[in-house]
This record gives sequence, C-alpha cells and structure tokens, in this order.
Amino acid sequence: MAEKNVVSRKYLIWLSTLSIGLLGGLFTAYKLITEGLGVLGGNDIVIWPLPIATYIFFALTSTGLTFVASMPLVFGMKQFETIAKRAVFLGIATLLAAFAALSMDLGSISNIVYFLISPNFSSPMWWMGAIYTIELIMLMVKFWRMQVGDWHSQGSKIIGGIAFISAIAATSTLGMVFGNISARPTYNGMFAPVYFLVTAFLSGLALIILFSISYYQISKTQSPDEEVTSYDNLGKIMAFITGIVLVLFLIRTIVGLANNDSEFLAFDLFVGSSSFNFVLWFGLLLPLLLMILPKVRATTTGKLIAAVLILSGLFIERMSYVLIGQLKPLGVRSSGIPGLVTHSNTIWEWLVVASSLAFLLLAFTFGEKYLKLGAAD
Amino acid sequence: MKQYGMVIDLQRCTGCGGCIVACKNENNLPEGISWSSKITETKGTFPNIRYSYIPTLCNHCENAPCVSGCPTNAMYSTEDGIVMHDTRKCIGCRFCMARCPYGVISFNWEDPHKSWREETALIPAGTTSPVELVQQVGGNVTPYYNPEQETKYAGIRPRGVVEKCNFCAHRLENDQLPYCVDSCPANARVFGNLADKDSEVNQILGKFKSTRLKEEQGTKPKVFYVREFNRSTYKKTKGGV
Repeated sequence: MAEKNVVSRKYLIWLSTLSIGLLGGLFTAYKLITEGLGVLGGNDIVIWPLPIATYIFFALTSTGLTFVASMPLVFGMKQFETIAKRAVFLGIATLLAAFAALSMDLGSISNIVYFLISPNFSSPMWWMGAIYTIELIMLMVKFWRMQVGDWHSQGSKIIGGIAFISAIAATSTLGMVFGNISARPTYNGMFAPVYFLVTAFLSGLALIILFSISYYQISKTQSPDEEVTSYDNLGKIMAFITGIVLVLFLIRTIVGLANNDSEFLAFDLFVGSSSFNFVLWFGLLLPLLLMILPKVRATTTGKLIAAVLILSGLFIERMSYVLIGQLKPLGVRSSGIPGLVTHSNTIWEWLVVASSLAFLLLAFTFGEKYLKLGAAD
Repeated sequence: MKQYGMVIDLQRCTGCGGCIVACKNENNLPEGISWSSKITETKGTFPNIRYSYIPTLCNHCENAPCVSGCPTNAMYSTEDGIVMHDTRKCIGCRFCMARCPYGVISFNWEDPHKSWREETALIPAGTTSPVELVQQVGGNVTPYYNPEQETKYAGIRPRGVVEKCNFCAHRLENDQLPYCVDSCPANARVFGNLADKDSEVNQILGKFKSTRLKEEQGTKPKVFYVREFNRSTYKKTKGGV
C-alpha cells in the first residue's frame, strides 16, 4: 500500500511537470497572439527561429516511427509486430507535437483556411502540409483499426501502406521546402530530401527504443520477451542507419567546407563549433560504437544511452541546419552587414520546444495507461 | 497585355534616399520596414576607395520564387507583371522571405506603427496621446495615413503577415507612376511597359548595357540597372611590375 502511494506520488509529479510544460506553451501562445511573433526573437534576417527546427525534429521523428511501424505492418517483418502499435501511436503523437510547434510559428494562423481553398500546387510547402495531414489521418485510422483488433485485414494493410508512402512523400517535400531554396545553398539542394529521409528513420528508431525501454523501466514492469528481442534487432538496425547518417553528415561537411560560396560562411563556422562536435562525436559516433558492440547493444542501458544521444544530437543538428541557412543576410539585408548575424534563442522559443515535448510525453503516458500499446497488453 | 518594369539609371541616381522616404509616406509603411531600400558598399583602402549605392525594391520577377513558393497563393503575379500580395490569404509562414534572393519582403513581427497606438499621453493632461492625435487629425492608425493606398492592398498590413512593394498598383490604375518614380528628384527611375517595344524603358534598355540583380538565380527581375556613376579618371598607364 505504501509502495503504491509512492508510485502514485511520482506519477502525480510526472503529470504535474508535463502540465507545467504544456502551460508554458499555452502562455507562449498567449504572448504570440497578443504581441506577435516578435517575442520569438526572429527578424527579417533570421526569419525562422527555433519552433521551425522543433517542427522538423518532431515531423521527421514521426516519419521514422511510421517506417518502424511499417516494417511489420506493411512488409510483414513479424519480429517487430510487438512494437508496431506503440510506433503508430507515437507517430501520431510526434506529428501532433510537430504541428503544435509549427502553429506557434505561423503569423496568421487564422488565415489557414486558405491552405484549403486557395492551394498553390507549385509550392513544396503546400504539398508538405497536405501530405503530412494525409499521413496523420492514415496513422489515426490505422491505430483505430489496430485498437479494434484489425491489424492485417486487406483494408488495414492498405491504410498502413498509404501511411508509409505518405510518410516518404511528406518527408521528401519537407526536404524540398528547404532544398528548393536556390538562394540559400546551405540547405543542401537535392541532398536535403535524402538526408531528411535517412535521418528521419534514425530518429524514429531512437525514439521507439527510448520510449519503450523507459516505459518498462519507470513502470517497473517486465518487458515482454518478444519485445526485448525486437529492441535488440532494432538496435542492430539503428547501428546500421547511424552509420549511414554519419557518412551523409560527413559528406555534407566536406562538400560544405569545400564550397567557396560566401553563403557557406555560416556553415564553415558551424564546423568545429561545440554543436558540430556534439552531433559528430556524441550524436553519431558514440552511439554507433555502442550499438556495434554486441555486449553493449544487448544491455538496456547501452540502448538507452545510444537512443538519448542520437535524439539529442539530431535535435541540435536540426536546430543548426535551420539556423545556418539564415545567418548570412540575403540581398538588401546584407547592406552594412558584411558577414553573418548572430541569433540567441529566447525563453519563448525554448518554451515552444518544452511544450511540444511535454505534449508528446503526456500523450505517451496516457497512451500506455489507457490504450494498451505494448505486446504484453 | 502590359508588362510593367523599371529602369534605374545609376549615373543619375544621387543616392539621396528620396525614393525610400516617398515610398514610406505613400504606402503607410511602419517603422523598420522599407519596400524601397538600398545596397551600399564601400570598397578599397583609403585613399583608393569607392562607395557604391544601388537603390532596391521588389524586382517583380517573371519567375518569382516567392510566388511559386507561397502555399496559399497570397503572393501572386498579375497579368501586367506585378508581383502582388494578398494579406487576407497570408498565413505568415515567411516561406516567400526565405525564397526571395533579394531580401525585399518584410514581415510584421509586431503591431505596425506601434508608437501611434499608445493611449498614454507623454505629459498627462498636458499633451494628447498618440491615439488621440490620430483621431483629431482624422488619420487611421497614423496621422499621416494615405487612404488611396488601400484600394489595391491592405492600407496598413496587419501583424503576422508579410508585405512588399507592389509598384504602387493603386496609382497605376489611375494612370499615375509609382510614387518612388514620381518623386525621384534626379529622374533616375524610369517606369513603363516592357511589352511595348517603343516604351521609354525599352528605349533606354536598347541604348545601354543593363544588369539585373542576381541574374544567375534565373528569377528574371523586371527592375533593370543601367550605367554607373563614376566621375573619376586615371592617367594613361600600363601598370607596372
């Protein structure tokens, strides 16, 4: 009885902390509505502050989770079926967290109806929004079918297939939103969609491993054996994808350094910065090392550390990616500014990040409690 | 069909900035936003130094990246070649700003003309508040509000949307020149129909080598620059080793 009270108290503290995070987001939203986007610290040079990087981070993680769920649900890899429902649920939650961060960054969200009634089919941003919405709907329908026990009927498989295809398409168009900005070559052109797709898979793998293992650790329940096998296999895949991301990251670094275009000035400064070093050494190399050592990979702690490092590294990487493309003023904005501008994140930007994360964690907490996301349930 | 364009003669331009001020007045621009602006550059080391001044505005590109990127068609091209903006459709995503290589689109990060929205008097019971002053002179947000501007665009753009030059579309429909052109004391700006081979703009473009900003971007700007102001000379020389 005493132990139960302790658990309840910890649970209450957990929920209270997340609620504070959500309240921080609501207060930020109030500030944005009453005072404008200026509170985020953006200006006509740094036009996309931290909420956009947050959006990218969560949206790509959602894609990664959809890929993870598709392995058993679309491609029939039964060894991953045990984590499929949790992956679909987290795919929905991360996408909603992404949309929440994005909505905080739109100056006139009240005009959003024109997204539907006045679409511009030549805009990658329109396609990105439309396809992510399709993905969200498909994931929700798929989860509902799974919830009622219909995992593998023809209709359910088709829904899963559409979710998988729309995840690829949405992420590619998100890459094109940046890559198609020819005035800002540091957004890596046609490389961006490919880079986004692969890094998305990595963040999805890391998140499902982190959340699944953490859930069983925190709730002090035993992971079902079949789930433990899934984590081990996911750890192998994570090692493989981390290796590929590392190669892509190095290619991006070398090509960026070799480019003499003045637009790459910010990128040159990024290479060698503490952010760059964290991403390279702690976000990619160390997790790769942890996951290719069989004895470490077999441990819960090893997988947890690797997943946390990868997610932290990728968040910093998204943040740097968005910012690097903006620090060199374009055209008339560069008049009187021969080099780069600087940008320090404001408390309001961090509150957007915190509230999106709080939303995700709260959704996951309630999902595990009421929707039976694990294999044992 | 007309295709409006502008030629800026850099030999005639004195860099007075009159176009910038005129534009601000005509279009009710808030503090910190300039549809008409300038790129200045100082090169060399004293005494071998030169200063250049290039007046800028929206280039009303034929292949406008802002138009192709805008998700809601809030940024659009008119039949006569003007890149226009509809504040009602703008969701404030700022993708147009990210895509514009010229940096000529601005965002309303806060309430425009904030200082004129103050309800507190500088000296209570001694002076009027900014809001009272605006009311007394019959203005709209600002005491110097130009109501003509709002016939083709939001008179004052609301917070949370972008804004940019529209070649003074409200003046064009009354057969008037854009106000920056009209008010240039040096006649450095020449405006006209690029589709008319005999227009003044085409006559100038036929006589002088012209350049456009960042042509390598393939945006096909409709603002052209001709000549260059430089009164310096140098002695005949072949240099030396």
